[in-house]
Amino acid sequence: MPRAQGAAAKRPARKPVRVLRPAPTTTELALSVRGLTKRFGTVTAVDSVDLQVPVGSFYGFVGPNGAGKTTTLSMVTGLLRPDAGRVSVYGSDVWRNPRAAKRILGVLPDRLRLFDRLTGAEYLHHAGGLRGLSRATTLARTADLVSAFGLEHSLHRFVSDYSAGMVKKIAIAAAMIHSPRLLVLDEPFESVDPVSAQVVIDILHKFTAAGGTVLLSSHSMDLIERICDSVAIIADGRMLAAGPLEQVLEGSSLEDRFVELAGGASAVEGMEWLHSYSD
Amino acid sequence: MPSPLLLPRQLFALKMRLYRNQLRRPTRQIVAGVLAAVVGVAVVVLLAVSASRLHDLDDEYVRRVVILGGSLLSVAAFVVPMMIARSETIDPRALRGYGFRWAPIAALILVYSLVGPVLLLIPVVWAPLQVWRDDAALGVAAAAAPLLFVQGILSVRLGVAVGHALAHHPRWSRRVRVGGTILLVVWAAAFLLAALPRIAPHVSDSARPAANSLLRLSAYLHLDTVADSLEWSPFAMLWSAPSHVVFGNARGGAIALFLGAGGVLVLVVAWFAVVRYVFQPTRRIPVERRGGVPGWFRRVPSSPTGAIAARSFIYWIRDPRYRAIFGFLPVIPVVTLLAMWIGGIPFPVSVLVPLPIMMLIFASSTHNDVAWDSSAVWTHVVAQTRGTDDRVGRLVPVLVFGAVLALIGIPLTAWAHGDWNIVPAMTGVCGALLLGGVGIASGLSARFPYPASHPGDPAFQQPQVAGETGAGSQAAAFFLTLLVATPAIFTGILALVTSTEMWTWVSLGLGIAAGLITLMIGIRVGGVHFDRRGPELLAFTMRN
Repeated sequence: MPRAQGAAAKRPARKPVRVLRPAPTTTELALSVRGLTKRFGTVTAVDSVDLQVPVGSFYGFVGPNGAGKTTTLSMVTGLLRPDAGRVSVYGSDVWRNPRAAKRILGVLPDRLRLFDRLTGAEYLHHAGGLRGLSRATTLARTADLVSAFGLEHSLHRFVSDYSAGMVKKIAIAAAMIHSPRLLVLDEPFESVDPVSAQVVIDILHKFTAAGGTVLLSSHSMDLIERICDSVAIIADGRMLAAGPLEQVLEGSSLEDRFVELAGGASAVEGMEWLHSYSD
Repeated sequence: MPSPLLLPRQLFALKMRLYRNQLRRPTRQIVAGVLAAVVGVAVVVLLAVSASRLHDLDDEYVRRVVILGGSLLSVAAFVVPMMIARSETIDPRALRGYGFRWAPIAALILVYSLVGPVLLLIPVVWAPLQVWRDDAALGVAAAAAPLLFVQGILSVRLGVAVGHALAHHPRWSRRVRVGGTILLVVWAAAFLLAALPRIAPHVSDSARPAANSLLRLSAYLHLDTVADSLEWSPFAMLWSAPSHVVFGNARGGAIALFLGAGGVLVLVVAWFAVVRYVFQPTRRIPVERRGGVPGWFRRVPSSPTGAIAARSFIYWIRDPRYRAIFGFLPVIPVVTLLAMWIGGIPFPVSVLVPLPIMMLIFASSTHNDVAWDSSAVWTHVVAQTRGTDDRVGRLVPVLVFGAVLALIGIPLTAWAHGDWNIVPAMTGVCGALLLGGVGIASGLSARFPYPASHPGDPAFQQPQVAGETGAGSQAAAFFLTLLVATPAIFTGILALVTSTEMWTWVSLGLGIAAGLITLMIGIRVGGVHFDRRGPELLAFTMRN
């Protein structure tokens, strides 16, 4: 954990919050998803999705609107019960052994409401208490997280008064407070300004460098291409490609590759009437 | 070395300039302002002159009216500026940068405020001289008048200073406005009721019945004792000083004058202290606040249950939907007592009803808390919080607030009922309703949630979804809670009817036991449902 390292270097009195893991080997999987399926009535939102996320990777998850990104991530994090398939985090099944799996899982869901009548400090203490951290640990980690995310001056304001970017930051901080090994972030950069986004990216990079694993979804291809080392592309509930960035891209840009795989060109066809103006 | 007259001259020029600048506005506004000022002066002078009407009335009545009216004016001189003023025309702090010392500034601001609206105090403090007949009393009144004048000026200045400080505290500012209004209205009502006995004979025939019933009310409220107890308060001391002499107590008059002068001295010191305080340089440079564990989280253990309890407490206090319940509770006794008064039920019986009803409604108010705090569901599912932790954490605030309500309500009920022997039975009934109601709500809310307005939404906003209204769930919560309390209620009534003390203790035991058992079952059932159906509950709250 980068925070723990930094804190230990500055203040030797404080014990590191977690003993560091040895450098990850490529064979170890932080997250393994097999045959994950979810149907809403007759619609199959997610169709037999497989995904392997190695330890220490910075994994991007892209797809057009309604492709099933949020549905997949909800099932991965134990928020939505799948109809079929298995999800395991570091070998623990999220649905059969949730206590072990969720202890090492940090989650930022999309479109779910926070407790916005709490102040930022209260929100983090609430998260720490729910994870069973001691008061001293919560206090120390809150101080570290808050300075890392640059929220010092907003700690005692209500979350409802935060800007969209600050809400994302406090939610990510709350997701990290129990020092998880795997962070699953749904749209962490939506409506976040570039400066704040860079702050979050730096923190996440430090997290992966120290052995943590990040899986995040986004609409922004450029961003994913720039910051991630692996990528998965999903469309219509099917996994089109997944793996290390170079393998998936095959030399072209992520945007081109994505449109190619997802078949975006067909949508433009059949609009010939648009070329014959009505006047 | 600047001339010693620099500050007085500059401040005076500034004061005059401020007045002159008041005139730099559209003509119509100036005319309106002048008219308002003329009317104000006329009213004050008229009231002061009309004080002479008291001259021929009996001394006891005059004493009472003068004490209540005078103290009303003294209080208003402080409270009204505190409520209205949000800035000072000459802020002492603004003069800090020029190297003046604070003491001369404090003195000069006080002296120069003589040139201004406080001149209206002169007819007011002169009024008592019109009232008294006794020569010695007149002498005391003449001595008190200048003291009252200075007291008035200082009260206004201090009131403005407090009002100025309140400008940065909008919540307190609102509280002061509401509290001040209530205080002044009650005080003015007391004054009018005290003045009524000699006015009533002069009112027209049509208004006489109203005046007479008001007189009865004033006799019922013992307004003479109000005046007596105010007599030696700092607001009334100088006003009442002459009355002591009238009643042959010359020494009392002297003491009142002396103490009144002391009070004025205290105000002078307070004024200088205020100016000195605001004259200090700012020591606290705004820095980020960090460190401590925030409020409610300090008072609970650091565990999932503790975190949920702290969060619930905060929501009970900050969420308008929860606060609406607190607002609704005081209405219950008023409505029930009124209804039973109309129904002709004797008061000692009817007074036993409101508290159990309040308990029932308060305890079952959380029968949909899973849907109410929808933001909790995903947080708890993500952290794999145990269902019982979720249930217990959420009901801790209800139990605490309910216990407070019982602690206040049970003695009040027993006192109004007139027999302290009902305390055990009342405790049993309230305990059964609170513990049982909370337990049943806890189970129902995890099993049968129904759509609710979002956390933090206004209290009476309807959820944005058609379908279930939750009437069934609500009725079930009430009915089952009443069922739990039935043994306690039944034995309690038995105790009342037979006047056997034994039954009240049976009621206590049955109530608490039934309540505790229900509570335990409710937590267990609710917890199991939460554990088993966490993601489904989340999907439910997402849909709504």
